[in-house]
Formats: sequence, C-alpha cells, structure tokens
Amino acid sequence: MDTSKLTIRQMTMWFILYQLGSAFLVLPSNLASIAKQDAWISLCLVLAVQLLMILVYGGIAKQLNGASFDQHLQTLLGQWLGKLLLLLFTLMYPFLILSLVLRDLGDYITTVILPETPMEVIFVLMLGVVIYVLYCGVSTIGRAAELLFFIVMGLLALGYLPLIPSANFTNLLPVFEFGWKPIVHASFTNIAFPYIESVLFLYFVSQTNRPEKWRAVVIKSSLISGFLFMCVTLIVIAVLSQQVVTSLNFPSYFVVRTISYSEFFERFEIAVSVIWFIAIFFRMSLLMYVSAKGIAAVFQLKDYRSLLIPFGLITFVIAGILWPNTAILITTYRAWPFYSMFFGIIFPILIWLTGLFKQRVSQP
Amino acid sequence: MQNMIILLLFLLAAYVQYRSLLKKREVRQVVVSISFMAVGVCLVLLREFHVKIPSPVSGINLLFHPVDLFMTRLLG
Amino acid sequence: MTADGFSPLLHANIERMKLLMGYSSDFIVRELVIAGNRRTALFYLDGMVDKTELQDSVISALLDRTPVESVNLEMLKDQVLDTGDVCVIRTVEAALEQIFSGSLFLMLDGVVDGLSVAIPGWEDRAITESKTQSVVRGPQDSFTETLRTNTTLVRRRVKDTRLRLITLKVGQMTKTDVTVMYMDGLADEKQLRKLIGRLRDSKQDRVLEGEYLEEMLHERKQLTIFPTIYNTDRPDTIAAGIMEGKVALFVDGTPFVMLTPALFVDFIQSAEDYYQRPFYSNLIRLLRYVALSICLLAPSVYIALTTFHQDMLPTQLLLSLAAQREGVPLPAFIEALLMEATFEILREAGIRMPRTIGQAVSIVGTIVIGQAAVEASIVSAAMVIIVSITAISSFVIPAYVMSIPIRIIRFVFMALAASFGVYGLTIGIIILVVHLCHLRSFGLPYLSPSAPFHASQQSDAIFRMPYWKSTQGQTKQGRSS
Repeated sequence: MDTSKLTIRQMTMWFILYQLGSAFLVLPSNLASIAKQDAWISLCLVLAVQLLMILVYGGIAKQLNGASFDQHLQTLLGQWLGKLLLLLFTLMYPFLILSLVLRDLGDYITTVILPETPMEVIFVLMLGVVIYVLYCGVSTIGRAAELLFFIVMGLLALGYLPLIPSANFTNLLPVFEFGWKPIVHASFTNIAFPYIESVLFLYFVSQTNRPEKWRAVVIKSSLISGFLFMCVTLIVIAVLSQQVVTSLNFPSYFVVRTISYSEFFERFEIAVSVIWFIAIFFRMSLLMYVSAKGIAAVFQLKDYRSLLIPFGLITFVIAGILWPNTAILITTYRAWPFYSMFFGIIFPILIWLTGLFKQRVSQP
Repeated sequence: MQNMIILLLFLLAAYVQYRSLLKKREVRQVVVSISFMAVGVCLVLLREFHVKIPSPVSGINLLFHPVDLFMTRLLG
Repeated sequence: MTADGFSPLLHANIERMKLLMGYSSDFIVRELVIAGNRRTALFYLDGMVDKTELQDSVISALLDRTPVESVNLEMLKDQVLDTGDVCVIRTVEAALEQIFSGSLFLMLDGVVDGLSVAIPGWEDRAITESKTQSVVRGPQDSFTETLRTNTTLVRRRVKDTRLRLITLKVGQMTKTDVTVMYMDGLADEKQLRKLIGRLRDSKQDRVLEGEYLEEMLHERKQLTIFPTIYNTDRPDTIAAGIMEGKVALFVDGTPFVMLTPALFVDFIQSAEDYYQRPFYSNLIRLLRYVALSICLLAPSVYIALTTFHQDMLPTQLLLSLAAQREGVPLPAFIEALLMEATFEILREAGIRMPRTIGQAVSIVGTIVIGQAAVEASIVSAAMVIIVSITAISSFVIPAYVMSIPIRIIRFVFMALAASFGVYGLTIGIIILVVHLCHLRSFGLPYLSPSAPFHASQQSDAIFRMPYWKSTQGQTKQGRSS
C-alpha cells in the first residue's frame, strides 16, 4: 500500500472538517437573518443543490480517467488555454478564499478571544502551521485529519448536546411563516460557502488509492457535514430564538455560553473555539494545497512546495486588506455567493459539457 | 514594525529553502518562487508605508452587488 | 602488520605476541612441553578465561593425554582438548581477536598456525530485576552486560527455528560484538538489510552503548525529539517484539537491547499489560493516555485560563485563584516556568544522588521547598499542585525515552499558551499532531495503526483484546501484507 496517498477514510474526514470550517460559526446567523426560523429548511435545500452538483463533479471525476485536474484542463482546451484558465481559476478562487478564511479567523479571534493580540500575529501562526503541514505532504494531512477528527467530534458533542434540554423547540414555529422565498434566498449563502467549493475536491481524485470512490466520499462528507450543520442550527435557533440569532455575530459560540449545569459545567465556549481553529486549519490546508498545486502545474514545476512560502506571504498581506470595516464585510458576504457560484457551478458545468462533447467527438 | 519582523521571518525561511533548491539545481522552481516572493515583499512594503492597496473584494462587490440587489428584490 | 601469519619458531612468536600486547601485566604466556618434547605456548588474558576449564580441560589434557606420536594441531583439536569451541587460527589479527574475546590461543613449536580454545569466564553481573521497567506480575529477569547471556535469555523464550542471529563487530577500538536477532519470514527483509548495511558501514571508533549505534540507525532526514527506536532491558519485551516482526539489536557491554521499528504506541505500552486481565490492562492504558495529556497540557491550560480566559473558570475557583495570586509578584507563565524548571533539577539530581541521601532530598525538595515557596508568596499553591501532578503523570509513561520529549514540549506549550492563550495552545497541538503524523520509524508511519487506520491491527493498538479474541498469528504492523 502506498503510504504517500490519502485513504478514503482520511479524505472523508478532511472534507468534513473543511466544510465545517467555513460557516460553522456564522452560519446560523446568516441563515436566520433571511429565513428566520426556517433556516433549517434552507439547509435541506442547500444539500439538495449540492447533491445535484455532485452529479456534475462526479461526471468530471470520471472524465479525468487517472489524469490530474490540471492535465485534464489542458487536454480539453489545449496547453496554453488550459494553463491560462487554470491560472485565473486558481488565483481568483482558492487563493482568494484562503485570504478570506484567514481574515475570518483573525476577526473572530480579535473580537472574542484575544482582543489585545494584533491580527498579523494570529495570521502568522496559522500560516506557519499550514505551510509546515503542506511541506510534510498530503498523506500527513490525511493522518492528522484522522486523529483530529475525533477531537472535533468530541468537542462538538460536548458543546452542543448539553444544550438540548434547554432547547425550546417552539422557537422553530411557525414553519413557513414567510413562504418559500426567504428560504431560497437564504440558501444561496450556504450553497456557495462551503458546498460548491467541492469543485476543488477534484484535485484529490488523483491523490487517493481508490479514485472510483471519490464521488461517494464527497457525497458522504457533504451529508455528514450538512447533518451537523442542521443539528447545530436547530439547536441554536431553538435555544436562542431567531431574533437573537439574527442580531448576534457568532451565535454558535454564544449559545454554548448558555450551558449551565451545577455551576461547574459551564462556560465551555472556548472548547467550541478549538473546534473552529482545527477546522479552519484543515480548510486552509486544502485551499493552500489546491492553489499551490494549480500554480505549480501552470508553470510546470516539479514540486509545489517551493511556492508555499511566497503564497503565505501574499496571503498574509491580502488577508489584512480585505475589508477595512464591518460594513464592507457585510456587503461582501452578500455578493460573494454569486461570485462563488460562477466558479463552483457555471465553471464545472462548462468543463463537464466540454468533456462530454470531446468524448462524443472522439467516439465515431 | 511587526510587518517587518514577519517579513524577515518569511525571507529567512525562503532563503533556507532556496539554498536547498539551488543545491539540487532546481532553477525553474527558484525563479517562479522568487517572482511570487517579490510580489509578496512588495505588498508587505506597501502596507508598511501605509499605501492603500485596493482589495480584491471591491471588484467582487462592484460586479455582484447588483446581482444581490436583484435577487433580494426577486425573493424579498 | 598484524594481518599476516606467524613464524614457525615458537620463541619468535612468543616475543612477537608479548610485543604486540605491550608486555601488559594481564597477558599471560604459559609455556608447556607436551608429549615428551614438543614445546607449546598458551596465550590468554588473565581474568577473561575460566580458570577451572583452563586447568582441567586444557592444561591437564595437554600434559596428560597427548599421545607421543606425531603431534599436530588437528590431532590436538580432535583428540586431546576437552572443550567446546576450538578453531584453527592463521593470522595474528584473528589470534588477537580471539584472545580479547576470552579465548585461549595455543601455538606449537614448528607450526605456523595456532588454535583458539573458547573458554570465556569473566565476572558477570547476576541476572536481577529490571531497574527501569518493573512489573508486578511477570518475569523479573533482565539483561546483563554479556551478549551471550542476553541472547540466551531470548532464545529460551522463542523456541523456533525461524529465530536468526547475525553477529558483527562494530567500532575500531572497541570491536564490540553486536547481534541482530529477528524471525525469518516475519521481519521486513528490506529494512533488515538496510540495518545491517548501516552497521557494517559504521566508521565509529568506539561503541560503548546502544546509543552510539542508535543515532546512526535513525532515518537520515528526519529531525525529531521523539524516539523511533525502542530500548529495554526486559527479555520478554524483546521476545514479544521479535515475534511481532521487529528486529532486535544486542550490543555487548550494555543490558539495553534495541528494537526497531518502534511506533508511538510501543512507548505507551508496558509488558505488564499482557500479564494482567484485559479489563484492568485497558483501564490502565487509558489512564496512561490521560496522564500523558495531563503531563503535556496541564501547565499550559492553567496558564492560558488564568491569563487570557478567566471567564472559563467557575466563579468560586476563580475567586480563590485570584486570592492566591494576590501576593505573587510573577506572572503565571514565569511562575510555572520556575516551578517546572525546579522540578526538572530535582528529578535529575535524584537520579545521580547516592541511595542513602536520596530519600531525604526528595522530601526536602518536594514538601519543604514547595511549601516554603508558597508561604513566601513566590508561587501560588495552585501552581505547586499543577506542577506536582504534571511531574507524577510523566512517570506513568512506561518508556523513559518517551517522557523526555513530552517534558520538553511541555515548556514550548507553556510559552505558546502564555503568549496566545488557547489559540496558541491549539496551534501547538496541531503542530505536534502533524509532526507525529509525519514521522516514520523504519518506513512505518509513526502513528500506525491509528493513522493511517488499519482496522485489522486494532486488536492491540490502544486497547488490548483478550487473547482468545485477538489474532496472535499476525504481525502487529502487517508490513509484509
């Protein structure tokens, strides 16, 4: 067995952690601000769209036939066009998201946990770890995912299960109070962030021992992370009621503060932060990996490792300049889903169709 | 000030890496890496001197904010 | 100069040997006349040979029982000498080697070759309890400094023809005997050959302990403080390891035998786990992992909570901690650093101290200094508790070599926690996990069988299954499959 590739288990766990990492903290408030107490229905819609898109992604995965994603692009569009497309795609999508995620983390930490620490330092710490792990290689990340996954699950259970007794499920009523329009509207954010980023998972078809299982892995991880989101959202809204949720910045964090059993088992919210740190770590590792691999393919480099340090530096700066104040943050969050859909829905569909077309043409 | 220290750290790490790469005569990787590194260093220096760098997000906002408004009206 | 042969003249040979040995006072030359007229010389090192055997099996035999007609080496070897291992020696270098190994070297006048008669009999330490890894139930014997005794202790436990021994001499000056022991068919051939190759190519001049070799055997490009080779002075552990497909390395002169490959779980397991009932053993193993976490994280968590996240503590506890820290002039991190450093000093002193004073100092160190420090408000009482728990937890790890990196990393975590609170601590933990995931020991990922996860090998990874359930026929690593 080749121990330098990812196993199915490792890949599944990494993807789940990746998807958790994005919106875990802000998801409930994003959804609830538009869909109010029907936020959880939005999630169902999101998952449905994701499953549809997985058909497309799976189709592309099959077309890859052993080649890596960048090679496939070049096969489809010729060397120069393929490389150009890859370059633009990589810079505008995973590389940008990398800075976004890092900035998110920084905002969170300076708001809630370490208000006196400069954001640059927070950035460097996370970037340092991510660069280190990518130097070690994909199989190391896989193994780390296997281990840390259980810690994250444990902390999730620890943080959220005790809330169930104090959950007031009448807060979820009335269902469909405002009709289906807000539900659809709210689902946009979550489709974009993180689910259609699964297009990036296509980079991993060649990194595993059993490529034919890739589609099953993506489906499984999407369903599991979706389920977890669902539970958290339900609990959060049930415990806090949707008005509170809408007005909070980080409701998932705040809700855990409300746990209080016998004066000792309280104030576990720091543990929940740890969940997020670990999930963000895996998210950034994946994004950095995809970016580095993509650019390395564009310039035909043997190894992506030499790009890690420059990318780290650039990400560091860009994360600092993304939005100077909260107002722009909010606007960005509202515009982002459509930008993301361009890369996560339109682009893959085009690639898939092109691939189908080429297959038809080459089969007389 | 902080930015400079951090820049120094990155440069140090880069230097170590380039040495080992050059020993293996991987010229192409070094060239590409140095180019990106140069971009990064410029950015840090710009930040340091408080030059306003346009955020990529402004472009996104420009293009897609109207879409968002449209959707909100459609589904509001 | 010493690789050539002897001269046929006995007195020339005697002079030469004496010269080579520098007329050392423990180099004995016993001249005899046997079978009436043949002059013979016996060379040996006083203290290395068994006097009784020398007396009865060699000298008496030679003097009394040598037949008069044609005396030659073959005849002496086949018909006269009573002892076991007798070989013909042709070069001076080989002769010296034999003498240094406790053999007797015999030369006849008029013959260019000589005989070496193996009658080793130096003083050896008796087989006692293991000093570093004791168990409540189970074998109490441990290795000694003599290679042959040690390999025998394992031989007695593994009565299988597949058990193989390969012996080499390593070290220019010490010419230490080193034996590689493995089970043919279970051990990884490639790694075995690499191991032996590295031993053969070693250019060291002195090999006094396994450590001299161990550093050579590590994976070349891997920089880590974690041990990737296991060593122990318990024969049962070595035997068990060999039967799992590992390779054991015995070094003459030290009772510590090395075992490769060594994975993380190996250092957390103890021989005793196999000698007690599974329910109890598994609980104890769980306890060890808990102790490991405490040892690693306790001071850091304390520092993080008291410095950055006071709101996580229950109010009562917070108030009492605050009251304790009232008079303490130092920030939590410095306090912790001081206490931990003091404890490390005490620990190290305890190892070197003569037995008689040891007891008194430990009482003085732990109780008096700790108490006095608290009362002088140099440290808070909570800190003393944390440090004590940490220290005691570190002794729960069965393998001493594993507690060293844990102790070192503990300080790094303390610094991270003091600077960046729980975020820094999480980053530290992630770095640690990533580092461990990246390590390999002789080709195997360090954290097997947990990561990558092999369901078939879980029967003895973290928890042990009862013997009637576990598949003992397989190797733990299953590399060959």
